[in-house]
Amino acid sequence: MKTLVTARFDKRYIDELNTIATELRFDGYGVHGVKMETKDLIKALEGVELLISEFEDITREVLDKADSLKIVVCCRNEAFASVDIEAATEKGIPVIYAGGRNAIAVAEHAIALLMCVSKNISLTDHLLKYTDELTNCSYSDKQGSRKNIISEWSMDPRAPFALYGGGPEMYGKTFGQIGFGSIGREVAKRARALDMNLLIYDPYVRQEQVEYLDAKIVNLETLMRESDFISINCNVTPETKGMISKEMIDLMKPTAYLVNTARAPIMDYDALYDALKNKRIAGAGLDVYPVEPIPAGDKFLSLTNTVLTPHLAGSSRDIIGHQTEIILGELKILLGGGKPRFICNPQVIKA
Amino acid sequence: MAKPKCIITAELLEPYLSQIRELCDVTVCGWAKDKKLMPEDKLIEQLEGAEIFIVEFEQVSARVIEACPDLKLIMCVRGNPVNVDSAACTARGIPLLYAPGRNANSVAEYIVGAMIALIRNIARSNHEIRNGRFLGKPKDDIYDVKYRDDMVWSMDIPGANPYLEFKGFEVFGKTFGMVGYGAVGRKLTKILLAMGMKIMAFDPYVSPEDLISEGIESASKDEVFSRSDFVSIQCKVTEETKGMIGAREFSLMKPTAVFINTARAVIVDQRAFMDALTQKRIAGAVLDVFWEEPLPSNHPLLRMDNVVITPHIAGASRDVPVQHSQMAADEVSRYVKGESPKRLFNGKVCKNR
Repeated sequence: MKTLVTARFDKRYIDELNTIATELRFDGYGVHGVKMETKDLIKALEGVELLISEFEDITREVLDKADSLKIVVCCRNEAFASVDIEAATEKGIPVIYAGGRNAIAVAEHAIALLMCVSKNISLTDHLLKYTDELTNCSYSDKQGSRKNIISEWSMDPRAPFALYGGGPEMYGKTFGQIGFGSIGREVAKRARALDMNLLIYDPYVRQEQVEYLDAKIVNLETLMRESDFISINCNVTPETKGMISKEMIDLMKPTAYLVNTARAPIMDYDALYDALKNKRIAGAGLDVYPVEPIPAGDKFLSLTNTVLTPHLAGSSRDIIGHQTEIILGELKILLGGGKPRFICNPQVIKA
Repeated sequence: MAKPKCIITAELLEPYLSQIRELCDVTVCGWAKDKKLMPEDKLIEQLEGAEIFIVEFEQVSARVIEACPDLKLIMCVRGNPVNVDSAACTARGIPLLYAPGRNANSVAEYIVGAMIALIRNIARSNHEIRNGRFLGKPKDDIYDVKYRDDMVWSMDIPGANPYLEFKGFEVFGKTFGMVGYGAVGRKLTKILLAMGMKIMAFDPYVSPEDLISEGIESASKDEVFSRSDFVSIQCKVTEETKGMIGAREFSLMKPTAVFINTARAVIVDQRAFMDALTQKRIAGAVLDVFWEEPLPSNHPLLRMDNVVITPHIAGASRDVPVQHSQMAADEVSRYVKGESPKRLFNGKVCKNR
């Protein structure tokens, strides 16, 4: 198939692409870091049967004029943001997307946020670098003959071991996974490897689908009540909006931690703030907020039992490799007459 | 028969403490009682007539050991009983027991969290936004939000895009190199393999077959340093390991690689490490241990963006005492029953007997 690639493409997969593509050409965002203009894109698509794009706008106009086009691949999770799916469907063009391209990045970020907050990693790093609370001081036990002891910072009750140690291990505790899609599965797999008991809430997943992780499907109330660490990884839908309400947060153990790397509308952030402020829960790791950027002076910025990152969970250089691998796999399924998992308009595939 | 007298200055949890009480005449004092280390003279006084001593942080010098002739067993509930004079125990024929791997889970989890915190800029972006960078204008009602299909932090402030500035990389698919494969290495291996990492390890005391059976590539020290994306020090301080990592090792590392030390600083040459870091010959570091603790307040590490530093707390989880309490109760029960110990540190003692 004559092919145009405007997506960022991991060159390690070029041989694999060549088994599908002929007259292969790279252009656009993937080459220049700038989206192609519509008129240039239309010109570049002359005779092209397979388009692998990422950020270019594949509008109705583009689809109307590209009359050789047979397949559109958009290397994003949310292809609808760049491709006019309705127009493609009308023309019978399947639109493949790179579902879960950032699943590993988000899963690693979520697990690390939980560890950062429960082990005070970010807090003590911050105190060391931005305050002199932990360095410009003398401890009662670092005098005399104990001056040369190198095996500990200090055992003084005012020392970091006493003040910032004592967080829980994840080992042996209960992990609550909310949402079991591409990302949730990756998070759950890591929690299992940490030797945690795994509870999963996802109304679209059956018990037998999680047996391989020794996990248990439970309702949301049970998950909130019994978990020591909770991760939210689901889309915003009318069902999930406000799902983690004040009532749900109130069910949490006082020793429990929660991480949100999904979207803010899923949770009542006011109730979360109150629970954190009053130490009704142990802590939280947050990557998403009701307003982004966080407004200056926002109350969350003053919480010490919280680790805040500015919507970074999906920001990884390795995503290009993942999206390339995913879309090539999906393309092979489609060309082999199968039904790809990540297709925006399955109705265009004839039974 | 009277119960043996047992002095406990280690923090021991229930039900294990009660198990020991059933077998011994127990006095809990020192660190275990008021979180203050008992001075030497006081300790000698307390240990009078005691047969078993379970200690955690108190210094047990040769003088203490010599002054307490009734002592028959010392258990230090740490992974390395550095605060007990092992040679003095051996000279007196006292078995010194310890608690190997008691904080292995804690350290292994710390390593995973801290390395991702470094490469994904979690700790750094957490400072930056609390210090006021990348924030929006104050808003009267933060819930007055217009619905958007997608939510992004900010793409429209030039030069202030945290998504790009803090873009990191994943541990998935990368190589983790261990210097020393003990209790921490074993715990880490399971987690890192599940995270999709490749693992290689250098440890002259572990057979290549054992490593391979765990899914680990057995390697020389040079190979670990030259091929790993993360190099982690996980060995004890011995005459052999002191200063083992120097300029030569750092020169072998990839410029994109991260150095991790949760063991002890003295294993690493400070100048060689600081040179490699400041000259960007390595990408960054995760450090929980330092050449001097507390870290001097003018240390350049305190002003570096490409490090995650914590004040020697990697092994400080609240679950560690559960592990060591269990080990201590087990050893006391063995002693009372006349069985040989499972966690003997000064192996020569048995031979001398």
